[in-house]
Amino acid sequence: MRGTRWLRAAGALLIAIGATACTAPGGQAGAPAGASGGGGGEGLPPTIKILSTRALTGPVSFAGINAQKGIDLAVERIAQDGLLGGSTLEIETKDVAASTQEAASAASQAIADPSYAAILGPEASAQAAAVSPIAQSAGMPVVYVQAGSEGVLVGDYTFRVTPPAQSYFALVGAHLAGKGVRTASVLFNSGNPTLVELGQKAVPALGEQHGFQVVGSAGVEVTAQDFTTAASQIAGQGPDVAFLMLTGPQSPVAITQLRQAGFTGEIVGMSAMGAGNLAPAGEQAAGAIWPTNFTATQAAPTSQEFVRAYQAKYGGEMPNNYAAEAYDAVWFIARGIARANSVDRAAVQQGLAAIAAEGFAGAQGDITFDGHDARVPGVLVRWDGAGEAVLEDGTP
Amino acid sequence: MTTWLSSHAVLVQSTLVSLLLALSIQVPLRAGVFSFAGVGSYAIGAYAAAIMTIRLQVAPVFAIGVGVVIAAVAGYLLALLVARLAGLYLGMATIAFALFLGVVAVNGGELTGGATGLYGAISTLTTGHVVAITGIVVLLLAVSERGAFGRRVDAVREDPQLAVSLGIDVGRVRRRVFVVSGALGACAGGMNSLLRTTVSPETIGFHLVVTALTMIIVGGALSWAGAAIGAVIFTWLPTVLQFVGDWQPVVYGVLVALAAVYMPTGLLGVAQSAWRRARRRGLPADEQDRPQADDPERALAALQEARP
Amino acid sequence: MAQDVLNALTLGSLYLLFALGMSLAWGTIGVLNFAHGSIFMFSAFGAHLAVQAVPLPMPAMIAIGVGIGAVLSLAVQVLAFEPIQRRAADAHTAQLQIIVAGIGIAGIPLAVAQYVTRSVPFGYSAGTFEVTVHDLGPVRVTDVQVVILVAALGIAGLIAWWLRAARAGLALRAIGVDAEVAAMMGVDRRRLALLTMAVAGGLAGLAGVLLTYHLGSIAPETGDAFLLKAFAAIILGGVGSIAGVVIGAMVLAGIETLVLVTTSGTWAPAIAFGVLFAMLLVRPRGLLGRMEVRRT
Repeated sequence: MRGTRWLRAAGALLIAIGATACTAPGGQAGAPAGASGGGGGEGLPPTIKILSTRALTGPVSFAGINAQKGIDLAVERIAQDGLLGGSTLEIETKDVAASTQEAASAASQAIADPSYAAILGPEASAQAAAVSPIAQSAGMPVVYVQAGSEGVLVGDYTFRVTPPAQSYFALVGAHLAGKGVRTASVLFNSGNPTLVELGQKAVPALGEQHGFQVVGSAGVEVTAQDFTTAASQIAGQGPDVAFLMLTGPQSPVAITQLRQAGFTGEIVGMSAMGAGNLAPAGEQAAGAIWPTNFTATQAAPTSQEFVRAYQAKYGGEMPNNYAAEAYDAVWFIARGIARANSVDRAAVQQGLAAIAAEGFAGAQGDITFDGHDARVPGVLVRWDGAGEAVLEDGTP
Repeated sequence: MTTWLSSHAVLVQSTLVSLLLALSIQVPLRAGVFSFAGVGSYAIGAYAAAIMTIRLQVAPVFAIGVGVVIAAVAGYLLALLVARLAGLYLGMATIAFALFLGVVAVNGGELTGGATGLYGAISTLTTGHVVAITGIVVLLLAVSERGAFGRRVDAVREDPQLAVSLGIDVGRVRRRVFVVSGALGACAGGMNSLLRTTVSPETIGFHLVVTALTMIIVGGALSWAGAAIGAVIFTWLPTVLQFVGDWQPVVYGVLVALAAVYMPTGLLGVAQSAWRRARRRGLPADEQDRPQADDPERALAALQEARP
Repeated sequence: MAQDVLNALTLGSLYLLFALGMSLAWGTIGVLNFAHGSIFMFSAFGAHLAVQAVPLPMPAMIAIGVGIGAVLSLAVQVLAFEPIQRRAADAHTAQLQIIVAGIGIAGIPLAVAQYVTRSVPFGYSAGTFEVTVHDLGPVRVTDVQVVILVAALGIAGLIAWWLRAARAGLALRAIGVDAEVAAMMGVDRRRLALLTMAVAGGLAGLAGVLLTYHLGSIAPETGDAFLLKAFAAIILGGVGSIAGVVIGAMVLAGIETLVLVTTSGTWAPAIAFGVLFAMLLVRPRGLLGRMEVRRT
């Protein structure tokens, strides 16, 4: 009986598929619960569903977990505010940290389910770039936080509430010019698109504009923790300022090793140095500065409102930029839906576009949009050894 | 049913792509060649398909086909290079090859999109195409597992020296297996690129090796069906295990470790032994212990089981 | 230039400490432990948890790291590798299954550490030890670097001597040459295997703690990167040779540092892979190795 082995294997496979198919949740066989308003949409249903794809585990989980706090706060505040009338905003969260497939899969499932009005997209750029085409071609509005690389904003239905670092980087240029800086070295994470662009393009451009020359540039691995060689090199070059375009976890390590190697100049980073990421380096990192889109002590009234509400909800904890961005993203979606007065996806897209054209004031301060990409005044922050403090506020 | 299909399309696609990736490692393994070049071929296929689609806007068939051809040729050359290696050393050489390609991808400048990778590879590839391609591939592999060719491959795996003395050209079998592995890996990578419309260095790293091994070990290393079982289980496991949440990676690790220790033939092997035992129980008592003489494959398997 | 040489030596010493244990286990009892990187990282992590609770000095931290590493390594050997060796059809299959089991097991400590730390790197800043830098003119040396260099070369020398001179060391080498005959000669394979794995694990723990002090902090993912480099170092030097591991580790570190210094550094990760591949093609035995390669 030669064929039996074949048949047995096929049988086992079919059973396996059948079993998992039966247990896999989300089989939407029933009719939608009347949640999608038709056509131009009059009025909002009692529950408005949004899918949130977050990185709650894994390498970017720091961003995702803090974003979650911002999201939860925003949902509460929107309910209090009554922006959506009597309707409740229900945000379903899925942890998609595992892979791009997870993010794309979650997005597809939400798209196929008519009860979802919009998606709060994933933080990781690679995942966002995979979700965007799906959402755009299916006409599902998606709003991103983080996700700073190209290929994320692909059309009308994609929006991003985290401004790209280049947009507020000029803040530090002016500051350095004021200090008479003439030479600079750059150390950048060569595996992260945002950091590569900052290191290879934004910093040299800044130098041209504000009168300093880049005398050395080096890339390090995505997960590198050993910067001793690069640190020795920079210390040897002895520039006035060292730009460290690295991820949050890498920054304190690089600063410590840089100081140990004998570098005494200025240290400039980017927003990833915030959110307490420099705490492991403590006093040794004192004096490091970086431009960022949000810090808890910035002056804008709506920022302070956010900080107070956050502290009230989370027992005095200071919010960081990930929470602020997510907070603004949820408010952005809510305003868009309120403007459209409907959960029909096309109408929601129109609503979001309208809000984007007007801009609004949020946790990050006054937010305007360049197309579908957010812009904020930004703030220059300094680490004093124990916490971050505002050095220069970008708000005019 | 169609709503279920459209909302789970990505998972179905993932399963099929993972199946092909697992097969690209299982096929050599079946011939006793411990090669992970399939993962490197995945990278070649993924980037080739994306580059062809973005720059030249060719049909998916050509985009994937180019990757398959390049990877098959690379597989052949690799087979020539590593002809003297076996076992663990071969495994490490092929892992080094695969990871090296990852670094090339990061340093590829405009062509490979560097650290960002490539995005916007939109094509007309549908789930239906993927199912068809996978179906044909599996059919071909299933046919090759039976009959004379299948037995030759078994011989090369079990005892290469004996195989040589029987007149089997072990070198040629190995080279063929590398070419097939390359083609399978590139097909998987190409399809995945076009389905997800993006490819980046993050998608082609060491974790692919871990994923493929996991599927083969748990599913069963000796047949395409084992790879299929493994692919289905591990693609759908996150959905099923959602209650486990943060501890998923731990559960994975434990599963793989348990399977490697206690179920070296995988779930397929366990199922087959159980079936065989159940069939034998139906025979008269004196025939139960004798290996079944009419099927050489089962005789071989029975002998293997009898070894201490 | 001198600073670069010092940095390369330090890096090489860290690779050496990490690879010594692996090479020892692989060359003698035929166990290639893919979970070695995870054990290395988790020992450092365990020490981190300890120092968060109680501020400890460096020797205590090292002791904790070594202890955790040894225990984990023993656990893996007893719970996974020994059963595999008992059940496998032959040594070759056993080796492959051990590798696969190691890959699976490696994920467990990694996942636990990632969960607890949220992938934020961890360090020992809560401890009592402060890194002091000595400025010697052309070079700057930290005391941690001195400890690393002395420990790595010292322990390598010690193990090399032990393998050559001590009875247990000879017995271990006998197992590496022919396990069956060694058993017939009265060598207690199991006890020596456990000892070897414990020592390998302890070395991994030592390397982990020292690396964390040297860099200031490490991430849960650091272990895997080290694993691949250790392979390259061992293959380069030759399996089964302690001197080979020393040379392999130093040469690898040297090439990496050279590339980092002279180019923009984005090709640095490929060096380990390139070296590994090239060595396997040209001379799988390694520079000083003694193991055979199958012909078919």
